[in-house]
Order: sequence, then C-alpha cells, then structure tokens
Amino acid sequence: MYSMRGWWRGALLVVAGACAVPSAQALDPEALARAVAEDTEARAASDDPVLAGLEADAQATAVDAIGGDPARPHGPTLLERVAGVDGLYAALGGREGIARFIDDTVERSLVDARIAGFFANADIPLLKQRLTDQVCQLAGGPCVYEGADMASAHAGLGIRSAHFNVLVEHLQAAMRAAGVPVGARNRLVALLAPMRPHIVGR
Amino acid sequence: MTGRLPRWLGFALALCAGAPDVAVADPGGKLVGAAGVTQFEGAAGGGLVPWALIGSYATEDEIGAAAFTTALVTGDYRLRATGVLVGFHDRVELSYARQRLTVGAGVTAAVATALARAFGAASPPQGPGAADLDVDVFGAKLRLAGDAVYAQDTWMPQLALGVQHKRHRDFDRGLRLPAVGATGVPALLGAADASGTDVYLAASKLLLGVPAGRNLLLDLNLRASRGNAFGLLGFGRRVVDPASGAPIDRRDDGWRLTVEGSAAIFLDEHWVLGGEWRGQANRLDRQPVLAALGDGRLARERTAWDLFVAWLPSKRIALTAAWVDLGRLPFDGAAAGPYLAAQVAF
Repeated sequence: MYSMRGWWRGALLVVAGACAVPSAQALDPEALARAVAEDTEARAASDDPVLAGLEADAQATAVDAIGGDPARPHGPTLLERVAGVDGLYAALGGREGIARFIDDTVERSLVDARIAGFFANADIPLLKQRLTDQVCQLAGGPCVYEGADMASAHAGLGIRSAHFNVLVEHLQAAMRAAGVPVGARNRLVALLAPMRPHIVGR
Repeated sequence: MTGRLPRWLGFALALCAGAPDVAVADPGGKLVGAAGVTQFEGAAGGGLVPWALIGSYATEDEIGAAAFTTALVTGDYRLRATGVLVGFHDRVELSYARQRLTVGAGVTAAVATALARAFGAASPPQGPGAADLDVDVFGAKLRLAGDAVYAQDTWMPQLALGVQHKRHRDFDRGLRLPAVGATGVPALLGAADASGTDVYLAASKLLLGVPAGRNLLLDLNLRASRGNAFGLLGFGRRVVDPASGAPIDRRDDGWRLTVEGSAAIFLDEHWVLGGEWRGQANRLDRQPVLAALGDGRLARERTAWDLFVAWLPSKRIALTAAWVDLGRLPFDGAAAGPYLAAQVAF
C-alpha cells in the first residue's frame, strides 16, 4: 500500500510534468505541429474504427469544402506539385497579409455594380473571415476552412464566368496594392482555379 | 496603306465604334490576355499561329468582337492584313481578313529580266513595278473541349477545330511580263488554284504561375493545307509545258500536314513575351519553270518563326511588335523583318 506521503510526491511529479510539456511545445511551434500531426495519424490509424472514420470524415469535409481533392489536402495543381508549393503562404504575407487583401477584395467587390448584388444577403465580416481561412489553408498556412462547400455556398446565385472573372480581377488588384509579388499572385489564382466549376453556372 | 480595303469593312468598324455605350464600355468578361491577339490570317492567336482560344473577350453569355491590323516589312516584300472577328459565347469564332502581299519592284524587275533572257524576248525598258496580291481569308473556329485558363488541375488543353478559306483576288493578274504576258505571281510560280481551305486542330494551355511564378501559354497545332507560303502564293502545284500549256507534273498538288506552335510568357498582367514557329509544306520547290528564272529553288519554303512582345494595357487594346522570319519568299532568301500589329476589342 502506498503511504499518503508517497502518493503526494507522485501526483506532484505528474502535475509538474503536465505543466512542463505544453509550455515547451508552445515555445516550439514546429514540435507542436509535429505532435499534432502524429496525434492525427495515430488516431486515423488507430484500431478504433469510429475514431479513424471521424478523422477521415473531418479531413474530407474540410478539403471538399474548399473544392479540393481529398488526396491532395491543400489542392495544389499538377504543376505546383512538380514545381513545389513553397513559401506561398509567406509570400502572401501570412494570415495578416491575406486578411488585408481579402478585406480589400471584398470591399472592391461591394462597390462594383457588376457583382455587388451577389453579396446582398451575405454576412460580410464572416465572409471575409471565411475567405481568409480558405486562402490561408490553400496556400499551406495553419488555418482550417470551416465554411460550406463551394457548390452549396454559391447554389442558385446564377454566377457566370464574367462575374467570377470580375472577382479574380479585384483579387489581383488587391494583391498588387498589398505588394504581393507577381509570382505569388499567379500561384494563388492557379490554386483557386479548380473551384470555378463549383461556383459558376449554379 | 490599306488601299482597297472593302468599304463594308470600314462601315462595320465604324458601327462597332459608334455602338451604344454599354457595348463599347466593356469588351467582355474574360481576363486580360485570355483572348490572345489576332494572327495575320484573322484568327485569334499569336501573330503567325492561331490558338485554341476563342477570340474577343466574350464569355459564355456574351458576344464580342475584335478588329486588327498588322504590317510586316521584309527587304522586297510588304505584308499587310486587316480584319475583324466575332466571338460567340466563348464557343464559336468567325473572322474575315484581307491580306495584301506587295511584291517589290526589285523582285518583279528581276523576274522580267530573267524571263526576257530565258525566252529571248526584249528586255523591258523599266520593270513591271510593284505587284499587289490580295487575299480574302474567311475563318471559323469551334472550341471542342477544355478550358485553357481555368483547368489548372489537369494536363488537358483547350482544343479547337478551325478552318480558313482563302481566296486570291490576283491569282493570274497583276503583272505584265515579257514572253508570258499578263499573269500573276502565284500562277507564275506554279500554283494550281486561286483558292483553298486550311483545316487545323489547335491545342492551347495556360500554365498559371509555373516558370518563375509567371503564366505561360503553350500552343500546338496540326494543319492540313494545300497552300504555298501560307496560301499567299496560291494553292497546290501545277507544272505546265510553256509551249502547249498542257500540265506535265501534278506531284505535290495535294494536302500536306504541317505543325505550328507558340510559347508565350506573361511577364505581368500587361506584358507578354513569346515566340512562334510555323512549318511549311514547301511544295513549289524544284519547279522547272522557275529554273528559267535562274533559280529552280526560287520558291523553296523554310519554317517561319517569330519573336514578339505584346502590350495589353486593357481589354480594349493590344499592341504587338515582333521580328518575323517568313523563311523564304521568291527572290528574297531571308524574308525577315519587323512586324507591328494593333487590335481593338469590342
């Protein structure tokens, strides 16, 4: 039987250890990312089919929502894979930079008579946040898009190619104004391109 | 310099320019540069080569148009082309272009002198002067499949089938030469027909952000044609006995397949740098009658190519400057020179 004193020491050790590990991880984002990835893998590969299924579903839903292919979680194009998606998130200015030019894009769109009507029933601040999450995730950043999939979000709006292109033009203008280099601008448009069939013509 | 531009073409252009504000204000919904410019036969594409892109900035609900004019000057030849195209719903393109090849006075004088010598006729006191060959080109293009700009997750290009029907207006007239009398340059060089139709299959793909983050457009075409020197020197091949006028050789008269292509880099949204090449069938090589003119290989063709830079300040205007090498033209072994083109979109 353990004496009360021994039990007390063990508990102190456990508590100290529990406090030490998270703070160490917080100081080291790479280690945190690794730990999260390992945990995800472990859960996905675990014997518990419910857990594994849940994990796969969550991944697929998040990926499907941004119009990507579950086999390519961030939706890189064929050529991105050849060329290597590298540094796009940083080139776009990180989450803060993305939020800035997404804000600018939406503002430009709201005053453009050609497409302003499509935003009539939208919650603009939420839309900006969702778009930022989407672009951040696509560019390889640590975000997760939690909005509706592209087809559902745009169903029944009657968006045509010309409208889609107007938004792309505003996005390009906003990125130019924010100082995003031309290569990053083009690569982002390339990553957004596969979403077009889900958005246009619904 | 356009000279005998058809009057109805001028009216059509004026009509477009004077069209209601809405039509003039917005040439269409495509992104800048996604319609290419206009090649010298009237189809949407580069300068020499048509692309699978449908001309004008019109998207699937719209109809758009573009008018173009180009000028190319080599040592002894000038080539002008002017035309219009209409794009329907980003699916069908119809075009018309009038080309004028001006054969320089130096060339015609050399031809006249050579003929006089060969047939023992009197050498004319002065050359026949410059000769103009006018050609009408009627084009149609149908987008079969694919999306060059937005299908970025597949290697599938945009495919289009095109036809270009060309009719000479000066096939066997325009020149008066010793021993031969009234003739025209294509007929003189041994072409068989004054009109012909080219059929081509074009594949185009825009790779977004690929070489050093820039957008790259690639195009490859397969063309079936009976044309000589892009049809500027007639179609087919006929070798006749000068004395009796009877045909003695109809080899190389039929259809030939050639390959052509382009590569263009969009340095940014407004500047494009590119190159093109266009294969030629070279069917007028080794014409017996040309031997009388001092060179049996007079009309031998080589692959034409160009390097170009295009400036697209807006959807409304595109300006192109290029160095074009047409390979060979008769009596001009290096038919290369500067090229300028302007296009206006409606």
